[in-house]
Amino acid sequence: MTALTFMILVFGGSIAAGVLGALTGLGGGVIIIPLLVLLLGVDLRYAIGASLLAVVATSCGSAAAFVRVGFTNVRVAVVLEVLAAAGAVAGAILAQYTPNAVIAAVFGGVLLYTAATTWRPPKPIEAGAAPDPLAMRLNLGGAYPGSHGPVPYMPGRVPQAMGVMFGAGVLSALVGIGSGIVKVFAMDRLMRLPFKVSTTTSNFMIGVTAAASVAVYMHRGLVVPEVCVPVAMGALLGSFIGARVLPKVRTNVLRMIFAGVVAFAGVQMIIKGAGGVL
Amino acid sequence: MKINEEAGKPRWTIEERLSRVIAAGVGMSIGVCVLGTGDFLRSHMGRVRDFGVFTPETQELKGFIESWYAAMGGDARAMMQIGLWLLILTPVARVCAAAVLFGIRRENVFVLASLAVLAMMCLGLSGLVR
Repeated sequence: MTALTFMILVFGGSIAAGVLGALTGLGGGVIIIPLLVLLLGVDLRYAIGASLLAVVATSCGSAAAFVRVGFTNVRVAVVLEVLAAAGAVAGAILAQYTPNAVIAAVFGGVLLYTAATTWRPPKPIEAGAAPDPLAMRLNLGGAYPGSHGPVPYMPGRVPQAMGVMFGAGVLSALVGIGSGIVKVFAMDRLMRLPFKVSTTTSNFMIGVTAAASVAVYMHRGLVVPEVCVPVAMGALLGSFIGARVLPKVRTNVLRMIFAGVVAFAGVQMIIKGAGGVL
Repeated sequence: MKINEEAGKPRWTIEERLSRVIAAGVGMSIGVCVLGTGDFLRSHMGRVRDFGVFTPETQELKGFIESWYAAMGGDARAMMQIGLWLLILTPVARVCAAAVLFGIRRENVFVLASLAVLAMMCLGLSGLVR
């Protein structure tokens, strides 16, 4: 295969990863590893670095649009990403002492459960229920662009979501992927944020943790430009497309896409736990 | 800086400014990556290297500074690597900008949160954690 053909194939696959990543808030890394390892025969160590770069690219590419139009809640993101980053540091330390295969298998099961439950919307917060005091104090409420104008919302159960976010950081450091899934789950199920706000805010946050992780891979010499540049450029283009498409996609369709991607990630995790590659 | 006289607060929103920072970072990264890739493909039109065989990247393409010097010397792969570094540094710039913008608005909790995230990102970026 020529260098040009290889780069075009990687670029094309990465566009799909970027679109999916921007829509679901999961970054698209879940597609990159099977694409590179199974279809193009790239060594897994190169593929992991490229997958993290795809997450950074998807996050940056879509964030500019999502933040500007008001889907992303920047305050919620800043509060939660402190815990996620602290969890990632704790996970990096824990990784030396824990059997990752077992964690991957267990987490895979959790993801399948998440996929099975996420396709249905959570019960709405009861009318007249007291708002979360921490959300009020930190002014975490917002309004996202709906079809008939801005739709206001106020997050609930902020402390619980912060705890889950720490766990998301630990897990992402231990098993490589899954941080975006837990972030969307925490914002959708615990904080009861509108689903599009949850996915776009997750997208905004995952770039930060992925950037710190991929820098470590670069310092180790695991990032090769011939693989990673087409991945990054494809994911960027895909995320631009995803950012244009998202406002037009109905939330229940988005939930089904999300559940499908999470189920695929769950199967990946279980295979990884069993010693496979996927 | 434009000031909203009613509220006594800046008229711009943090979201608008952060969006511009991200767009600038992404734009620079795309530009450098495209230039580097074009240069690379002109001299490497033959068969692609076998990426199924793992060989760690050479020292001059590991860090930002090393890649910068190699790119200045005309190395197309180093220029592509600089493009990737610019992409990686975009979220860092976004977190720095958030700290400054929240500081201007005197939202100190968010300034501290942004600085804490920045400190943890710097651990990975500095190469101290490998």
